[in-house]
Amino acid sequence: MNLFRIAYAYARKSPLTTVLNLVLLALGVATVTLLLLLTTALDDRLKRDAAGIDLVVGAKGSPLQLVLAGVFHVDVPPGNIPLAEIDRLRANPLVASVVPIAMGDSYLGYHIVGTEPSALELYGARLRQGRGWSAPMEAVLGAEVARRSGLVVGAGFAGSHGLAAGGEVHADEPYRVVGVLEPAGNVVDRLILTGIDSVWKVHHHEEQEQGESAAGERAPEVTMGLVRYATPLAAATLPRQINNETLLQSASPAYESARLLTVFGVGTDVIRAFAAFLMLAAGLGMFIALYQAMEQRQYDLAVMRTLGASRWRVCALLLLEATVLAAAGATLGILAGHALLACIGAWLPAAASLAPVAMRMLPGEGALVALVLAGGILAALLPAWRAYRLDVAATLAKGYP
Amino acid sequence: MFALEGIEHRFGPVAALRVGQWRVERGERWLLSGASGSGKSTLLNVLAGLLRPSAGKVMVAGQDLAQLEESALDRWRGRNIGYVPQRLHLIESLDVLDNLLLAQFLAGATVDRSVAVELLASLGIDRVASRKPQALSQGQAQRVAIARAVINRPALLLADEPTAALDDANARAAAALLSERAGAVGATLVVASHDGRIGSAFSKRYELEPA
Repeated sequence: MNLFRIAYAYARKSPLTTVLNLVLLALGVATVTLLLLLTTALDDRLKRDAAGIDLVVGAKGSPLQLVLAGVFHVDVPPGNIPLAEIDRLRANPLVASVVPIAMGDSYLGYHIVGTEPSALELYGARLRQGRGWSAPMEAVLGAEVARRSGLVVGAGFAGSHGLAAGGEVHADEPYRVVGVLEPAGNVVDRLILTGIDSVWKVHHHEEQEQGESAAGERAPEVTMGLVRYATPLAAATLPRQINNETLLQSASPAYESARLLTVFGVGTDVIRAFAAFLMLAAGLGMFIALYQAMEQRQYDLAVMRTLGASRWRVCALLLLEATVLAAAGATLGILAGHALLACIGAWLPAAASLAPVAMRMLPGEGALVALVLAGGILAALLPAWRAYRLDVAATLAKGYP
Repeated sequence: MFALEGIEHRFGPVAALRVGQWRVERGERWLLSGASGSGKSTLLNVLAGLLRPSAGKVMVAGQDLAQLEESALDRWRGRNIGYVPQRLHLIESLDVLDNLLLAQFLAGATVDRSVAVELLASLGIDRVASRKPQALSQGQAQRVAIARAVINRPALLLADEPTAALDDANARAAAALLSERAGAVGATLVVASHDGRIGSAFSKRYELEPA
C-alpha cells in the first residue's frame, strides 16, 4: 500500500474519464512531438543535401528554383549556361571548386545528372559495386535508385525526356549501369550520375532528329555549377559579383532553404496551435475530473484524515494522481509521435529519409514533458488546495449526500 | 485514559457542546448517550483530535492535544485512535483487504498483509477480503469498518452510532463485537449512541446534556 496504489485505484474507478483525458493529452503531445521531429528531419535533410555547396550558379531566373533543381533535385532547372562560364568561375580566386552538372532526363522520376567525378567527393559518396563512369552512356546509381529500380551493374535502361516520370523515352540511347553507390544519407541516394558528355550525346542526337542543329556545332552547355568558396569572405562578394557582372544567376542553398522553411513555418504554426489546443482541452478535462473527484471523494479524504493522514498527504495524493496521469499522457504521446514518424517513413518512399530522426530524442521533447507535467500539477492545484482545507469533522457529520 | 475539563465548542455563535468534567480509566467501556443534537459526534471528534474545542482541556493517553501542532496531531491520531464513523465510509475504490492496508499505511505502521488477513479471519469475514465495499452486506461492512479501526491496536476506540442501521439482534451483536475487539487490543472504548437497545452492554455511561 502506498500513495501510487491509492491513486491508481482511483484512476481505475472511473476508467472512461481517465482514458479520455489520457488520450486527449497523448494526442496533443504526439502532434507536437511529430511536428518537432518533422521540422528537425526536414532541416537535417536540407542541410545534408546542401552540405558542401556554398553557392549554385545557373541561368538567370528564380534563385529558389536554382536551389530546388540543382541541390535538392525536386524542380526543373531554369535553363542552360555555357561551359566556358564554369571555367571562368574556376579561375576566380574566391572559388575553391566548381562541380558542373547537366540535367535534362530522368529515369523513374530520378534525375539523371551529367557531371564530373568530383561530384562523388562533393556528396561523400562511395561505390558499393562496380566502378565510376568513364565512357559516355555509363551510369552510376544512387542507393535508393538502385533499390527501387532493381537495376544492377551491367543492366541497361533508357532515360525519359524531362525531369518528371512519363516523358518521351530515349530508347535508342540506352544507359548502362557500371556502378552502384553506398547509401550516403543525402540527395545522391536519389540521383543517377553519369558523364556530362552522355547528356550532351542524348540531346545532340535528339536535336539532329529534329533538325535543329542545322546552324552547326553549338558551344557546349551545362545546367549549373555547384560552387564551394575558397574563403568565407567569398560569401560577401561573390554572389553579387556573379549576379551583376555575368549573365549568370547565383543562389545560396542556406539562404533559400531558410526561405523555404519560413513558408512551411506558417503551416507548422497552425498545427502547433492545434496541438496546444488539444493539450489545453486535456488539461481542462483533468481539472474537471479532479475537481469532481474531490467532490465525490471528500468523505474518503476525511476518513483518510481520521486514519492519521496529514493535510499534506491528502493534498499530495491529488497532486500525484494528476502528475502520474500527465506523465503517462506525455510518455504515450512522445512514443506515439516517434512511432508515427517511423510509420510515415516506412510507408512513404519520399519520406524515407526522415525516418532516422524517429530514433532520436530531441531536447524540445524534454521541454514538452516538463510543460505537460507543470500543466497537470496546475490542474490539480485547486482540488488539492480544497483537500488541504477539508474540514474533517464537518464532512463526516454530513454523511453521504 | 483520558480526561476532559471545561470543554466547550461553538460553531459560530451556536454552542454545540458543553462538558464539565469527564475522566475515563484505561480499558473501560463507556456508552456516550444523549439526545440528538446534544453534541455526541462533536465530542467524539474532540477526543479523536479532529476538532479543537473552543475552550477547555483535552488530555488523551497522557497527551494534552492542544500542545500538538497540526501534523503531529495527525500522526498522534493515526497511532492512538481507532474511529468507526456512523456511515462507515469504507473506501469504495479499494477492496476490503486494501482498506485495512490503507489504515496501516496512513497511520505510519508497517503494512502487513498477514496481520490484516488474520484480523479479517477472526471477524469471520476473510471470504470477502477481495470484494469492494459496495458488494458487502451491512453487517459485513460494519465488521470491516471495525477491523479498520482496530488494526493498528489503538489506545482509544471510538464508534459513532454504530447500531443506527441495524435490527435488534444485529445491534446487540455489534455492541458486543466492539466491546470484544476493544478488549482484544487493550483499547478503551467509547460508543456514542442514543440507541436504548445496547445500553446493557456497557458498564459505564456518560449522559451528555444539550449545550
